[in-house]
Amino acid sequence: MAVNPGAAGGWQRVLQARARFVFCVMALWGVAIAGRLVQLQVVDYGFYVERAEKQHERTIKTPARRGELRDRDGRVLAYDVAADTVIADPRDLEDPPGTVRRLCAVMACTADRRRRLESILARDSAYAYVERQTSPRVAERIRALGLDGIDLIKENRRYYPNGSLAAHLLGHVGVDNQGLNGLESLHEETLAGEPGRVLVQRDAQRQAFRRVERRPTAGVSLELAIDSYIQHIAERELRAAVRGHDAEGGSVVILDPRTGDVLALANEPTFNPNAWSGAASDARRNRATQDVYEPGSTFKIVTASAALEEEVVRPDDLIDVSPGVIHYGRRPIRDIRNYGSLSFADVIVKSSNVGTSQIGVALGAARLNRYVRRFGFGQMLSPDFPGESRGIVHGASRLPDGDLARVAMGYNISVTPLQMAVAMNAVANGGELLAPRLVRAELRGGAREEIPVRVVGRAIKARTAAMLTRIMEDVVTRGTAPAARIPGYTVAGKTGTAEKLLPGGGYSRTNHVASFGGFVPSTRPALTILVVVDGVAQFGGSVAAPAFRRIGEAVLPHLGVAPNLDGPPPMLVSAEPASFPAMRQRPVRWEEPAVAAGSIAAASGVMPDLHGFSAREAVAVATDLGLSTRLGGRGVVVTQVPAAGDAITPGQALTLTLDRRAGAGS
Amino acid sequence: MARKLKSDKVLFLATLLLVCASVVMVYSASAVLAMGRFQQPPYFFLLKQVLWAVLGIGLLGIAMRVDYRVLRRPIVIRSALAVSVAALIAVFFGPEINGTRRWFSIGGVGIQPSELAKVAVILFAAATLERRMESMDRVVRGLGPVVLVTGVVCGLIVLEPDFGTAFTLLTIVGMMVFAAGLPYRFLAGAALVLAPALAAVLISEPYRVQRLLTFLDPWADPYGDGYQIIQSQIAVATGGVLGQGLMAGVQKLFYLPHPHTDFIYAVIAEETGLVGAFVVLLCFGVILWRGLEVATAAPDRFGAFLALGITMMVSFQAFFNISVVLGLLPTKGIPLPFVSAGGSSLLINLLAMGILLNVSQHTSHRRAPVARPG
Repeated sequence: MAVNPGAAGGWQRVLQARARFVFCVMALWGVAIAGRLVQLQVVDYGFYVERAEKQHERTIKTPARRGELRDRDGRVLAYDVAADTVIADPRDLEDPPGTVRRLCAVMACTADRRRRLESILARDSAYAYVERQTSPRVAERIRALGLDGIDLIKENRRYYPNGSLAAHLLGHVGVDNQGLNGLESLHEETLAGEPGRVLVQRDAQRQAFRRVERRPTAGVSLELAIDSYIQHIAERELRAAVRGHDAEGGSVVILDPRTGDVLALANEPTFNPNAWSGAASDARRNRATQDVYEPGSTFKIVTASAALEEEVVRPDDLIDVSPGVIHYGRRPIRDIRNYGSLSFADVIVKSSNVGTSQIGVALGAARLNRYVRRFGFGQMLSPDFPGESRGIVHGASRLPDGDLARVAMGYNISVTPLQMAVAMNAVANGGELLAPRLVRAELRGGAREEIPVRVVGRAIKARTAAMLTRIMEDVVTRGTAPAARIPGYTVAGKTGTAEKLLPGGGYSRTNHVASFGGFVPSTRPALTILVVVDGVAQFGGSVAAPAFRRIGEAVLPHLGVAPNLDGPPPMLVSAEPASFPAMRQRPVRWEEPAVAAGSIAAASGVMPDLHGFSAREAVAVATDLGLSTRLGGRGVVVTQVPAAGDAITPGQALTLTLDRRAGAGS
Repeated sequence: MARKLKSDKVLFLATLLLVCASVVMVYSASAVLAMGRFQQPPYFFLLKQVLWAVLGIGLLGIAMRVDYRVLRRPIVIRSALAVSVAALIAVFFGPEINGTRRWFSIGGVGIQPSELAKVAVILFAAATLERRMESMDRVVRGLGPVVLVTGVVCGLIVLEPDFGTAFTLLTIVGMMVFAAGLPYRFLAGAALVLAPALAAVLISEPYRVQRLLTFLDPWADPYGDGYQIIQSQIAVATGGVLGQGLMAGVQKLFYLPHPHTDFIYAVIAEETGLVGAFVVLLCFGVILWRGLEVATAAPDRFGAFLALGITMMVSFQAFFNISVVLGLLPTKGIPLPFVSAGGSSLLINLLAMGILLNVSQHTSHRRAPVARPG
């Protein structure tokens, strides 16, 4: 284009034209910039914000404190402790091999672990675990190293202060504190709480600014029906029985007849939930609820209940059980000897198979099965045991006599020890089937929400239960279970010796499931105890009954249950504990009372602390001190005048007020 | 003719607004940086910027009152050029900073000679073009001196190396020559000659090619070469419409490469959002518009070319810097005029604005129809 700026003012025209062009180009550029701003800040805003958050922010979950598990008296069975976890940001590491070397110097790595660490730290990630929940000592030393890209965070670690106590009930947790078994897994959502969120903002030099987005909500604690002391006794005696007879395993279930509370549930073998990963899966199984067995003669209480309630027989009806063998089905049913003729009561007392099978056949499958169901067999009874088995029950209304006769004596049917204990418990409490209650209450913040006792239904009439109890008392006094006698208390129970099925069919003569189930004191039952020992050559009366006795002997005084047999006459001033406020807290007393009493007697001149003593123990101590005692109420000592530590003189009056333990229900 | 000399108020206000924004944003962008990387109090860069701003506005005031025609004198132009060239040579004896020699320091104050050189070359080009406008269709006679001087100065700047500033200067002079009526066939010819030259310069340094490739696809290597571009875009985008709030930006905390200098626009966008980013862009738009009006209404050619050169210097640099920040153009070390921290740049730009304002006092009040916005 020819430009002719020669003319006057021509240069201005040229300049104006060219400047206009320049302006237009620049203006277009400006518009492009404005457009780009809108694109970035408005259109693509979300995309970039996400990018930015990814690099600026990381959300860290702060673990919530898991709810505690406590026993019925508030003793803690499982709780969280804070532990340091070593984490790494591999992208931040300047010298990964050097870092591994220095870490290993502190952590004492094996060659294998060193290799694993090296591979972890070589990854292109921003978060890796070096060691979860390390010991305080290692944590301290790693902190002292001050390595770049290595950090310590707090994690919660579950701790079971009593080791294996009630392990099968509590269960255990995984490394992320998630419940893996038992109540821990079953009530995971309740216990876990809600983790908090912490937003960590970082600049490019990785300096962090933390902001708490949400605080963690602690989990809800559970109060179990378990009594730690009873549980301890149950485990101790079960272990003794299993080891003493070289058995494969066993279970003990202890129930409160009034509430169905599971006071103790023990299995052998057991494990330590603090170190569960090292335990065999066999040891982690809750045999009492997950395993089934053929109950054998203990099951005769069901047959007897049905026969009495249906009035097929009366207790003193004579039944011909000679010649000690009877033929139903292909194989003969035998007694251990020829009893000739027995009253129905004695059929149970002597545990005659011949007699029981006749009664079972007389009842018929439909009637017998009705009672099998009423006693809770073939059903899941509690929401508190994961993997609870229903057992195997033939529900048919017609059965061949051979099968029916065997069901009547506890074969051809599979039950869990828990089911058997629950059935026994129904007899103990006068015929009501109570669902076993393991979780008694939820402790939410300060509030205690009790989980109500659940009555499944009535198994038998109270009158039937009373008749059966009479018979079961005789089992102990003159029947198959003299070893179950507990001095001072009337005991009702039933032995069972079930021959175990051989893998190829038929039953073993030398491999038994020996059991004893019963309740004590039989007149006013405070405990229902079932002992099952699996894989022994001996019988229920000689293996399980002694364990029952030892448990009863230790637990009855602990619960403050007064002897009802041959006991000294109580010096009762008033049976009414009404003048005393209900005491929630129960005195904690672990020592054997005899030991305590002995030591107290020596320190005469000063009033000892009698809290928690039973009336009998307290009176014994008072007598030793020369005090004249006045008692009020029932149960254990809750108040005393003069108070502990006061000076006393012989002949002085001692006033004790007793109350049943809050924990014992009623 | 005794008429009252009135300078362009709008132009002045736009400049002042940018300088004020600079003081605020430099502080916001550099406070943490000053403490962290430079081990200085947080006010370190703020104080320096305030000092330079006060000095610069003083300089602007003086330049406004000096008749621009004084600058036409050969002695002024030659001295300016001589000082610039001398300084540009002097930097080669100075210390190397980040692999370049763009600075030398007098009494602890860093001076960037290329900034002064830009103004000197603009003065020279304006004076030369005034005399040779008629000969624009003759290569040697019309363009010779301008090409020669610009070439030498640009060459020196490229050697530092500071490709961005050289490119800016080349563009400014190119615009001035274009406005002087360079025939379009020359333009085409120049494109034919310059394109290979540009390519050669580009390829001669591997980092330039790398920058170009990265620019085309920053996400190919978000933690390596694409880092600056991506971080800058993240900063701008997360500002949204209203911004994160002053001082509340996160990207400046060591993510952005030069938050208080070359990438200060990203901090502005992050903290004041689309609104703030638009205001700053608009200020430069106003300078472009009013500056070109001054150029077209200038009483003589020298004034017109001078005004055009200065306007282009400010607005081209601004648009280029913003485009880099927004990822529209490859990364160049070009500061945002008036806003980026840095004494030399602020001082020279304010001086240049003073000259432009002086030219504006001499314009006839005839409105040029050319430079209406919109």
